[in-house]
Amino acid sequence: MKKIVWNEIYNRLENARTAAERGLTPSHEEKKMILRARAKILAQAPKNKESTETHLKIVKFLLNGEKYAVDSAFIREVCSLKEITPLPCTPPFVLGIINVRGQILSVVDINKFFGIPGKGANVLNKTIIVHTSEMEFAIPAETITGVGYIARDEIPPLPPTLTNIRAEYLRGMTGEQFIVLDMARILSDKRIVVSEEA
Amino acid sequence: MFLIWQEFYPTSGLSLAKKHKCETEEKQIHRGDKMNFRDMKIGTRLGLGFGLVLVLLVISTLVGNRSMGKIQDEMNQIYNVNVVSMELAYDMLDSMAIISRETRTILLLEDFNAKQESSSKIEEARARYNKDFASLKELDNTVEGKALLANVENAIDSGKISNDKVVSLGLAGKSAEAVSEINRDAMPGMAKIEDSLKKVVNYQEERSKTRFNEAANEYTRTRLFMLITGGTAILLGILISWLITFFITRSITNPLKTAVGVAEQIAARNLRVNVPANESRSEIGFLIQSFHKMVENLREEIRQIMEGVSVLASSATEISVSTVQFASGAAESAASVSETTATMEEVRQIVQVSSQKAKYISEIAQKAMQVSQNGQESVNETIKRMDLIQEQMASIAESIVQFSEQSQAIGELISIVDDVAEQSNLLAVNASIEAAKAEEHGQGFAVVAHEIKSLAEQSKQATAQVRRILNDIQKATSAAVMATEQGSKAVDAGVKQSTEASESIKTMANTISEATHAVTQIAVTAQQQLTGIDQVALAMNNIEQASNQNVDSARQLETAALKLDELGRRLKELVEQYQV
Repeated sequence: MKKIVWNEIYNRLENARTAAERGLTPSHEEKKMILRARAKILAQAPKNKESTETHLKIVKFLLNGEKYAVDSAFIREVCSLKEITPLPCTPPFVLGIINVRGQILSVVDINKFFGIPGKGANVLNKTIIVHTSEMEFAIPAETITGVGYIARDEIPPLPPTLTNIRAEYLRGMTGEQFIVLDMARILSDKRIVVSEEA
Repeated sequence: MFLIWQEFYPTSGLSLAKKHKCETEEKQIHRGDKMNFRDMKIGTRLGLGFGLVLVLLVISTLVGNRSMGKIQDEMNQIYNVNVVSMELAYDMLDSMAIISRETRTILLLEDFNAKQESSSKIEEARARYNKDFASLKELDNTVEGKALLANVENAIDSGKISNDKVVSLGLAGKSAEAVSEINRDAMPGMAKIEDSLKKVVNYQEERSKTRFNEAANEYTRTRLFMLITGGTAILLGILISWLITFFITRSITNPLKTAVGVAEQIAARNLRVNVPANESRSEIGFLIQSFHKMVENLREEIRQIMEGVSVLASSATEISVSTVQFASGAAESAASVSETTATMEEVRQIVQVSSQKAKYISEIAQKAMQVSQNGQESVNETIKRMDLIQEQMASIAESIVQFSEQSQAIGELISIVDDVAEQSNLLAVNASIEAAKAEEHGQGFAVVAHEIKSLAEQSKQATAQVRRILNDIQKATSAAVMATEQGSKAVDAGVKQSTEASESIKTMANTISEATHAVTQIAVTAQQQLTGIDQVALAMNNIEQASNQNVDSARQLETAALKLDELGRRLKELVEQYQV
């Protein structure tokens, strides 16, 4: 039978407690190290000089397993998606409506709009609000992956497998396999407008 | 004897013929039986031979007897009839003479009374001859005799008349007339009577002579017959005797010789001898048959005896071997008995030791009893302690659960931090977008936005790490709770075990108590055993004596068995001399 060495246990507990107390208030040296590291990072010049003239700023996001990217020019803002109110008598791609600081916006599922069978299991807790002068709606997203740049003239073409109906709404594919949406065309598409008569 | 019979009983001719007939019949019977003469028993043979002689003798006797009877009849006739008739006739003559005389007396006398007396005398004489005459008539039955008697009667009747006339004249006194009368009638009448009577006498004499002659003839014949038959019987007897002797001797001696030969062979111990078959039903035949049976039986018996003797010999050998073994066994058993006696002494010592040990064990058992009581108390104490441990385990589990709940609270806090980081991230994206809108003026803002984004990501990573650590803590607490549960169960098992131990100790205490009791009994028993062993030792001494006697007996038996063996061998030799 293994004998319990209580002193050792008490020592270990004591160490843990002191470590925890110290962790909450970093020591002077630690503070210095952290600050120095930050200074170093800040001191570095930006690696790639992507100017707005030559490069397109894109926001990348995930929706039901599909990787998409949107030109930041069409993005008003990104925010968290809290509560979707389902709307009757609307096409399936319209998930419902949301209230963003007093403004009512319709939520359009890009996958369903493209006719891609959505998995629908993931929690859509983010939304990207896209707009033109005429049209404005919210695209739900699982995760906002981040912001990136892509050369305007060198957007890689779509792989031949994706040349179907939605090809007309797509501009190409980044090196990281993000499908770049042609937001201008989507926003101007008549099909997305829900006609009262229809 | 035979000759005397022959003398006394002469036989008649008639009997001779009959005798011959009988003899031939006898011979025929004899011949008829001759075929089976050999089968006849000797007694029968002898009986037959002498029977024949006897028959001859019987015939001779019968015939002789018969002839004798005849002779006697003749003699009787002569004596009783003829002689008596003659006497009667003479008596009548005498009466006649009396009558004549008295008649003359009457004539001569003058006295009437005397005359009357004579007349009565005449009457008396007349009555006498009448009576005689009646007797004569009765006696004589012959025709000739009767004729003679009738003459006499006639003569008497006529004589009587004339005589009566004379008597009446005489009585009247007329003697002259009476004399003339006598001369004329009475005298011739008287002569006539006398004559007829003499004739009767002569006749009777004649008859007597004839009869005597007949008797003499009969005698002569019978004598001859007797001589013949007697002689024949004697000759026959001699012949038959000789034949019987010869044949019987032969019929007896020949088979007897065979029997003797066989008996000699048997005496010479040869039982292979062939006994000739003799189907004869005579004694000798039976003897030979008996010999045959006897030889067969002897053969069978000798064979059986041989087998028996061989069995006896082998048995005797076995007995001899067995007795040797028995003798050695008896010696061994005597030795064993000695050893056993010694062993009994050892056992006695052992029992003494065991008695002491039993007492010692009894004390130890009492000590063990005390120890088991102490053990019982200790176990009860252990159970109490175990209960305490159980309570402490419960408090440990409670503490761990509280710890787990607190780490859950940390998790909630972490998710708030996470949320904040997420919001910061979104804000950074928005800031970046806004910076892009502001173009060149937003350059610096874009850097700040990037910085904020990086911070947000860092905090997110940190929260993720904290979440992982929290998960680990959760797992560790679960493990701790499980360990505590196991500990609790172990304590339960310990309690149970202790209870069982308590029970076991209780049982042990009882067992020890019983053992103490048993050991006490063992001590008592050991004491009794000691007594018993003493008795056994005494008995062993007796057995020792008996086994020593046994050894002696075995030696005697051995000698006897050797003798028996020798006897068997000799018997075997003896029996083997027989040829079977």
